[in-house]
Amino acid sequence: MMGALPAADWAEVLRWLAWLALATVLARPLALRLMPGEGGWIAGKLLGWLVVGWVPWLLASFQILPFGAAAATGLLALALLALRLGLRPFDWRGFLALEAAFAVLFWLGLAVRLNNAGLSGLEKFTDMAFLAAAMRAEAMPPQDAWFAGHPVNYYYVGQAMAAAWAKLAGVGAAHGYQLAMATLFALTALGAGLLTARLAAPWGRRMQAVLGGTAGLLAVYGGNGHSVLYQLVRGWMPTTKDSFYYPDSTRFIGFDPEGPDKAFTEFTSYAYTVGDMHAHVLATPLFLLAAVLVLSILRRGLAGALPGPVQAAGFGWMLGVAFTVNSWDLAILGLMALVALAVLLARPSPLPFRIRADGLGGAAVIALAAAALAAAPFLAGFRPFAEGIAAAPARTPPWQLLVVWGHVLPALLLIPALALARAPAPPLLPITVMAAAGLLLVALPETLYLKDIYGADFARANTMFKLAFRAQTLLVAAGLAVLAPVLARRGGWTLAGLAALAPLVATLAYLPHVQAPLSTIRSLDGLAFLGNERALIEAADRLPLAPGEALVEASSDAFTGGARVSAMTGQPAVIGWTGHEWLWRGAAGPALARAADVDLFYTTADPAARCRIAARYGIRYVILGREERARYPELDEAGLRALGAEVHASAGGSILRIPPGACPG
Amino acid sequence: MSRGLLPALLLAALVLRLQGLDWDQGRGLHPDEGNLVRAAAALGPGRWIPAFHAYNDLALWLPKLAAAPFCDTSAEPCLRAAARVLSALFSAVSVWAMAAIALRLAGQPAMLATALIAATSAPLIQWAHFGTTESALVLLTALLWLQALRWQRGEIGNSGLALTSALLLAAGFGIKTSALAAAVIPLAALAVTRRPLGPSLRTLAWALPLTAALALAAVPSLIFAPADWLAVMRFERGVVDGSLEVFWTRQFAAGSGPLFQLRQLWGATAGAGLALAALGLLAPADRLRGLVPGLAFALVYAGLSFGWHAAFFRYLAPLFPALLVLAGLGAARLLALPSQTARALAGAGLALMAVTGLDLAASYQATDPRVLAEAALRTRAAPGARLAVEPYDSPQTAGLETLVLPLEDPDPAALAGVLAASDWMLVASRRNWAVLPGHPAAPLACGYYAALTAGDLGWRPVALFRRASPFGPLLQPDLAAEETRSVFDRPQVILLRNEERLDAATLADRLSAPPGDCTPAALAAAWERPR
Repeated sequence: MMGALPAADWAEVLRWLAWLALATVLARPLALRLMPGEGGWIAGKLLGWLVVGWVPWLLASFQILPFGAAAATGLLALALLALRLGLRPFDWRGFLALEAAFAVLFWLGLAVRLNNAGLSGLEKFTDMAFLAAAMRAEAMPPQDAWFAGHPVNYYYVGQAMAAAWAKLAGVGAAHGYQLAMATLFALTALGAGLLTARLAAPWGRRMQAVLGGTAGLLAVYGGNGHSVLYQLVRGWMPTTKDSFYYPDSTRFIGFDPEGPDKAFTEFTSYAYTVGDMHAHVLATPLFLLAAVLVLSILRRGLAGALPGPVQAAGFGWMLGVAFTVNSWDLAILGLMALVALAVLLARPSPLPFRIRADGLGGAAVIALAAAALAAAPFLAGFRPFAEGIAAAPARTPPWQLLVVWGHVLPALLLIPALALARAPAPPLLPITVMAAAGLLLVALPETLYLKDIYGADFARANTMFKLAFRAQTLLVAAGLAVLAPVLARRGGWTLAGLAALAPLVATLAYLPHVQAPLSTIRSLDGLAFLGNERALIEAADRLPLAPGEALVEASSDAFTGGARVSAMTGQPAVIGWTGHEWLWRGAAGPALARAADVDLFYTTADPAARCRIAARYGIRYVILGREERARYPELDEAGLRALGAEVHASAGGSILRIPPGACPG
Repeated sequence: MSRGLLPALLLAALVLRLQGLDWDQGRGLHPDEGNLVRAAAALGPGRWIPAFHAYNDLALWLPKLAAAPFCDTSAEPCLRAAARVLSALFSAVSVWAMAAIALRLAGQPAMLATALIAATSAPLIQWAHFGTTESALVLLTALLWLQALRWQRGEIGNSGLALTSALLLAAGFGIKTSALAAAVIPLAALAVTRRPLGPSLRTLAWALPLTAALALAAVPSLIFAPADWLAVMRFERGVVDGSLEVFWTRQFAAGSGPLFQLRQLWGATAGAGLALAALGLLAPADRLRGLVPGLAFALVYAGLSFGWHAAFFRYLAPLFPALLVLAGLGAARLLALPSQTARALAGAGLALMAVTGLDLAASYQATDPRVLAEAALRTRAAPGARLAVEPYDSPQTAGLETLVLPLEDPDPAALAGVLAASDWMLVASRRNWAVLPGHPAAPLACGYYAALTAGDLGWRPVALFRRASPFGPLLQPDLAAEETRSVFDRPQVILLRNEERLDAATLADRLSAPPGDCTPAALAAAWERPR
């Protein structure tokens, strides 16, 4: 009932948790320094996760140390900082309470991940390809497993950070994926709870605990307004669908009813249920920590204390790392910081305006410099592929916006109500800033969108997806936190507060769709979906590819079972999911040309043409598995086998090796 | 703590300059350095006067004499190593000299800021890795200014100034004729002095002939081979003023001049250096007199060199002492302001410059891209394969038979013939593709490069090599930078393979077709395109 694992998997889990606990202890002094009064154990946990993953990436980017050898350098860096800042007084009670809470959340997250443990479906191939390629790499960026001969040209740093953790814990890529997802689940719950608790801090510890706990619960199990309305009062809603299916809450605008402008409104609990270790999920702990830091700077600023260089540099570092993990967060956190800055400049303060402007200006310069430095190693190897910002081609019907965001609106309306009731402004301002930032994120895709390769139907789908994902977190945190002053006022306000709380709690109607029983925890294995191809892929994982060499497997469209060898092993294939490479390379031509070459390679009866393709991409190994036979009914197997010897054969297929010189340049 | 900072910065300067001196793995890939080293190797018994005068005699003899105790001075590797070590040492000493100037002008914070800026200055680090004369010219200019300043402050007398100035100017002339312009430095100090002029003028009366005599001693070619020397000077003048066209100055066909040079200075100091230097100019009146010698020289030299058609970046080397000292003064001025924003801006500016220099220094630990390309060629090319290379460049050919592409031949058949007969091609830098398209001397170049990068000639890029550095292309000179800031030590090398093996007639037809986009930016983007 509680779930169980084989002994070897248990050992991996325990190693993973032990390193995380050590990272927490070592990161706490820095967290306290960054966020005096706001940090503590949860911030230490979030910061430890980030630093331990990031430092090896940095060293491997600068080629100071190979990525694998650098795995423990993040811990070492934190240890040096902890020695300098001091570990004492050590709060054993707090530490044990946090570790207990984290362990419970981790286990719940592991159940969610292992409920459908296979590392296939949606973006899992992409994420595994990044993770496995990073684990193979000595230097960063890693080689693109789906575009041999070129480094990854996407926001891969989050997966590289997870790879650093897997290296540290001595875990393979596939198990690392599962453990990282469980960790992210737990960190999201803790981070959302911390943000809400800090917003509610002026109204007492009990209020903090209740509201923070609720926020954590909603972050990993709660839905949105749609989840409430289209389940609890479905009969009243104008739906075109027969029944509620949990992704409906994320595919509503333009989908129900069908329309020409489709947009995604995902949120964290959905993300963990589908289990993609994609950029926005990986960046969530970082985003939450940075949001708490903004809050800390804002709160101290309102009390007349300007941000110091450490806080400014810390926030800048988070901005820079956010850009490399999930570039949208740079804009979102920047927006939040700007709103906070405007408030600090506009509000009356014990400090004269000139002093405030100067201090905040200095902090902004330090933050920007730190952000540039933190992002620079990534930018050095990255070619942007976005096509710029454009005016949104469509607007969401207001009623649909109300449906999606209806769960937070009553609580948010309490903010102006409190202002009208002359509630003291300073404690309320941080909540207002978070709410304003969240509402701006909702409003932005109604006016602007980032152009990418998707057609008119999905023009602003990605923009709304990324902004709404963060808006949900901010608005739920602000919505819950504002209940603290409301409930504290008692009387009619208590009723209003409970009424506003109801739709927020009602989003737990989503819980049955996204929770998983602990009994699903039986094994960390995520490769069972490979079936009889498993041995083939395990053999491919061990192939000794030299620099400049590649393997070839069937070309494939996105979100199919193709490109599974490169995805699961990180070994460079000529082409993986064509559409993804089209997006990442900013042009269709190269990816489509490679796909056409691969198709020709498998099917042509002309040995010279096949040889030319092998020489062009440095193909050393040829995969002949289920996918290849299914995709190429006219597979020229004899011609392929004439190229070289079979180095692996199993029920799932064969691997052929093209010897050097078989296709001379 | 600040007492230990200057030695630490000087030590860092030395380390940054001495590490990675063998950045080309012993291949001698810097063409100017190659000329200097070959000329120096030829010197010796029976040939005391060089046959090469683009650099003056002392520039050739210095590495020769410095190498004598250590290795065979008729061997080019020995002389190259000596020339680079000398260059690195000169550069490191110039950091001290600039810090000493700043100390006298504005105190210890300015000294430390200047030392940091100079120690991590990307151009200074780059020149330190070349066995050419830029580092020596920077040092001589800085030392002349330092001596003038010391004289202004009464630390040395008239004779001290006269003697050291004469020695430094003569040494400068012995290296490069244009160094004589640095005579402005002591003369400007004299012009703004508050001391009685009489003794100074009496000193000048013997200092001038002494300088001339020492200069002649440093350049005996002037006495023993005056016609050759003058002929080379005339040639150099023709190249510089644009009346003589050579391949190397074709990059300036689109224009040079003051704006171009200012852009180079901006880029070479990451922008922050020029901005801080502008702030440094806002010196209190009591410091102005000390600034005058350095500033007067910088203005005179900029006045001369900014008008030259040949706007090679290395010609700006003598301006760097003034630029970096002023930047140090500017940074110190910002740091002293009671403003957190100003201090943060100063810190960010200093950090940006330092990171740019450190990135360059780190890159010298990486393998040269031409050597990487050669290794790739060695593993991929079949024995007997033929390699097409571009003229005026330094590809490493793995011992393959090479055919030089006639990029300036107006007959498409000539270029098509080489293309059809070659199996592999090395584009060893941007020297040709970023310059020749659109240049009247190479009427086919535009069409050729547009077709080559589009794949219309049946050639396909197989690999692109860069010198690895922590920040990669982010901090490296871009296409707007004068080419020698990158082509000597950090070229981008492209290895291409003749895939379709089109015949010469087809290639000639395609070369004659209307050209596509051949702007440097379009070609650069095409090289970078994923394949």
